[in-house]
Amino acid sequence: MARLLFSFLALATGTFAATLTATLKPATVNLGKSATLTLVCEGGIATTVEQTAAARNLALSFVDSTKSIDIVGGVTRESATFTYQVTPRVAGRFAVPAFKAMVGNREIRSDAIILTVLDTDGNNTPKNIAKTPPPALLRVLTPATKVYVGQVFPVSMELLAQGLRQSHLPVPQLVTDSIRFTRIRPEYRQASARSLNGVLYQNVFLFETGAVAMKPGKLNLIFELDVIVMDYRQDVFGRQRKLHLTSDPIPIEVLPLPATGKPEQFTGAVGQYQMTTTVEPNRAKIGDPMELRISLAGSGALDNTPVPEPVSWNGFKTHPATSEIEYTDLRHLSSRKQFKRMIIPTDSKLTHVPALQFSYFDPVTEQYVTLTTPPTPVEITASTPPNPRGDPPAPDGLAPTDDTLAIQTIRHAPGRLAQLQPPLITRTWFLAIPGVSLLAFLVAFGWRQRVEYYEAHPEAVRRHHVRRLTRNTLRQLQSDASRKNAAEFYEGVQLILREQIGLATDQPAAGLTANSMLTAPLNLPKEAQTALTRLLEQEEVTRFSGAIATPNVDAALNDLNCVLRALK
Amino acid sequence: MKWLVFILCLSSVMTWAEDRALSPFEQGNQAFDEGRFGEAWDHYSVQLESGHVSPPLHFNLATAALHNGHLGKAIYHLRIAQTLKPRDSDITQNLKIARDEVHNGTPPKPGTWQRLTGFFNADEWALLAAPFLTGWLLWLALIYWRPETRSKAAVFRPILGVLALALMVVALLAWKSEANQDWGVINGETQVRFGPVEQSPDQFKWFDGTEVQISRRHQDWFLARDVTGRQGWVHADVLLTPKG
Repeated sequence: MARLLFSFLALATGTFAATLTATLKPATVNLGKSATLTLVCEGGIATTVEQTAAARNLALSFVDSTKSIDIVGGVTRESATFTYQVTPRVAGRFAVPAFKAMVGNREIRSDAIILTVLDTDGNNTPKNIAKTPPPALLRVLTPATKVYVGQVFPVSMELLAQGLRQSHLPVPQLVTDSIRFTRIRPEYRQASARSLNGVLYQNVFLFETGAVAMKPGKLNLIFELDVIVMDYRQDVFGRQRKLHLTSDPIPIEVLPLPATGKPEQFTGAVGQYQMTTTVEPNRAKIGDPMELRISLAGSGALDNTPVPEPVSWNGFKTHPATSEIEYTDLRHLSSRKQFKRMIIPTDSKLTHVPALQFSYFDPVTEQYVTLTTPPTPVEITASTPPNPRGDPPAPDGLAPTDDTLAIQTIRHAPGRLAQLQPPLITRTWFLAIPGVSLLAFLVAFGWRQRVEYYEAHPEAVRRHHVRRLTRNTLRQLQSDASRKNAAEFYEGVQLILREQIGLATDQPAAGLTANSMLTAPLNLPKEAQTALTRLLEQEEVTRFSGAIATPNVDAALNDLNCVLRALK
Repeated sequence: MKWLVFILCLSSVMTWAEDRALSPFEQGNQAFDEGRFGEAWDHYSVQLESGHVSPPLHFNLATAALHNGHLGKAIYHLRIAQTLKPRDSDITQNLKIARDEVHNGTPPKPGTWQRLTGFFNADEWALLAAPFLTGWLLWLALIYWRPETRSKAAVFRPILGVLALALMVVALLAWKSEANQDWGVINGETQVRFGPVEQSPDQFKWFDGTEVQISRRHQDWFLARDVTGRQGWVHADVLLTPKG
């Protein structure tokens, strides 16, 4: 009887159908004017209403509230009306935020509404809405018009701008309540410049994400964004402006999930899924842990989905599951969630891991679906109790096998006990082995280079030969024996002169005579030329006179040195 | 007369037997075989302090320590033994057991360099590299000395050269790695401190057998870091390190 009375009262007062509706009049105002926001709560009495978000560039002031009770056809309907004055601060398109109210123990919400503010005073001519399109636009696209609570649907946002002046790309913000993104930061990509209504938008960014409706009801999908762009409408050189962009509202109807046919284990997943399970290892002893892996994959949001459970975990001790989610598309509309759960068998009679169940609502067929995995076969053996007397002796020829390593026992021979020697690589004798070969290589290399140089430069060979011959002959001339033998002395002098003058004039030394030496184009200084003439005359005199003793060796050597210095 | 000769022989044999007392190593072995691992450790330590050591001595020290439950000492001596004799399977096995015990069965894996070059020690790498390097250099010397030999086995000369140089680099790196004495093993559970003073607050705890890398020393304190990157100061008393 009491239940019947309660149902009647509820029906009469309409508590269960309470709604909060927002209307804005006019929807377009001139800057300096105000619009009136009316919030009507029907189906229940709300004592107050509250903004769900701060209003950007709008001042909201409470005007009054009224309550009314109507009885129509014997049905009592209560309603409350709240009136606000909305005054814009700047021109543009702004979202008047949604309001919320408490009716009984239930929270109801209104929709956000767009207010267009024109930059004029006293008339309705929209001066700020230029005849040319705006320098930036925010457009939102979604194929969804009717979705279920918990269903994911794609949302694309397009930002078109002329000369975007921002180092960091802003992300459009969702104004509408009761909607959440599948990505915290939407994936974006830059598209090529696009011409729209005769205006070329150089910066085109496409944001792609998915969204999930969280509450049933009708709502307007609105995004807003602040950007800094170059405005060329009034200035040919452009003027940097900060714009507040608001997208056109997209009406979406969010349907509640049907109450009929809802499985007991349904946890709110909406989409289309598949489930697989594996157990590793599938052979274990009682008390040994086994890892149960459950994989859920499909299109839909799985981030809040708990681990699927069997009807009963009898015979198993379970640990809390861990999970990892992996998204298979950019918008995060499809995902794969992997659960890992440690289960420990406590009964040797177990033959399988129990079947797991997972229920979801399929929005395509509009029906609940329950997936059930087949029982996973496992082999459980009883664990060996520890033997208090130690391991029993193994039968002859059969040693107990054990994978664990045993400590190797000590060595009875001490080996070669000695002081630790420094490493080989630091010992001189060891380094000497490759060192000697390196030295041999370097010597051979140098010698080969020298040989090849002389082969390529014969003048160097001759120069070397003349230098050596001069050095040796001079040494002989200074000896006592030469001093005593004038012919031998002057023969040596002439040899040196021939070789040196031949080298200087690039002529064979053997072909030079005293006369040709005197007339050779040597460009000698006068003193050297005189010394050369004197030496050659003296040599000739000595040769023809047959004198044995050298008249003046030191003077002759001085002349020779003078000529040699000049030739150098 | 026969009796006199017999008595003289007997006395000389007894004198020799008395002179030939057991060495500390043998005494350690005896104590170990009788299950007195602590005593065995003491005997082996006497041998160690004499300065005359060998891979079996370090192995026996480590094995005695392992049986005695001193993982830090065991790992320290096994690491030295492994440096001296890198391919000894018993040393490798005992070291694995000790490390498993310290890290609950999941010891850190050796680095790639250690796995590639750990088969030989630095001396062995040097011995391997020396003939290749010497042969290659002498071959090059011969070519410069007698250019007509340049074409003989010319294909193998660069191969030999690359092999010789690679082996030499490996030997040098192995030597550098072995010469690095900045490692240590924690001997007994110890508190790691924020600073090199006794009054410094505790930072965390290192267990017996934790292998660390030493980065600084301040008086009797070492600044050490473990494989997980944790770093702190420990007193020299609890750290076994080749630096002493």
